[in-house]
Amino acid sequence: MRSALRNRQAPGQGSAPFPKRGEIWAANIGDAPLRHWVLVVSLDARNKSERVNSVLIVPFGSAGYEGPTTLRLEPGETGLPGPSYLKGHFITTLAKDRLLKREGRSLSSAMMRNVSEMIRRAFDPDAPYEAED
Amino acid sequence: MKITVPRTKLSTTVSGETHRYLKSLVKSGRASTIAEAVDLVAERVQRLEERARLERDTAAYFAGSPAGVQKEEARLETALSDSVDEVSFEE
Repeated sequence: MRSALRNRQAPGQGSAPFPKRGEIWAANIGDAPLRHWVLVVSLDARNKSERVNSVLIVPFGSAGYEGPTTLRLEPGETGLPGPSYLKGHFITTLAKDRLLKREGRSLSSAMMRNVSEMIRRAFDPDAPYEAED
Repeated sequence: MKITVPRTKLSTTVSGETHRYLKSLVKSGRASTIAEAVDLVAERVQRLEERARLERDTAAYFAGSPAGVQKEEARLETALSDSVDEVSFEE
């Protein structure tokens, strides 16, 4: 059994932040590491908990096109410099202390509902899907 | 309390085979009336169509990704996998 996070701080102790659902963060992902924008999608009860060292995130991509599990967002919606593509098929767990800095703006509740539906389409074949033929 | 949704009156004819099938749904208790049986069948067909469309569009997304998107997604896959490796799933 591993320690909660290898060589990392628990949230609230030092620099690990308490992000909120719907916020966009610059995060270090990977071993390299790669600086990347991510959207926090886990519930705030988890995000705020000092006993949980990770959050659920969906990464943004700068390249992409719309599909059942991607969502194109405009700079006016995200506060990011250009159009970006949220990729629901890459939803994953990320250590809170990999979140570096809050950036852009929080997505609206309506948009977060769209995001949740998009994520659901990545794993639930019975997710509502009304795209035109 | 049973919640009822507004219903639309529909008068039509169906094939004998369809009628027998709808009646079998009522007889087996899966629907309480022929009208409910029609709703049940329509709902199932709609769900199957949505499921097939989702599978098809998902396959098309991954099959049709331009090289730039594929490259970015491959890099993301690797980076995210590396990041997950350090998270404990015991918490």
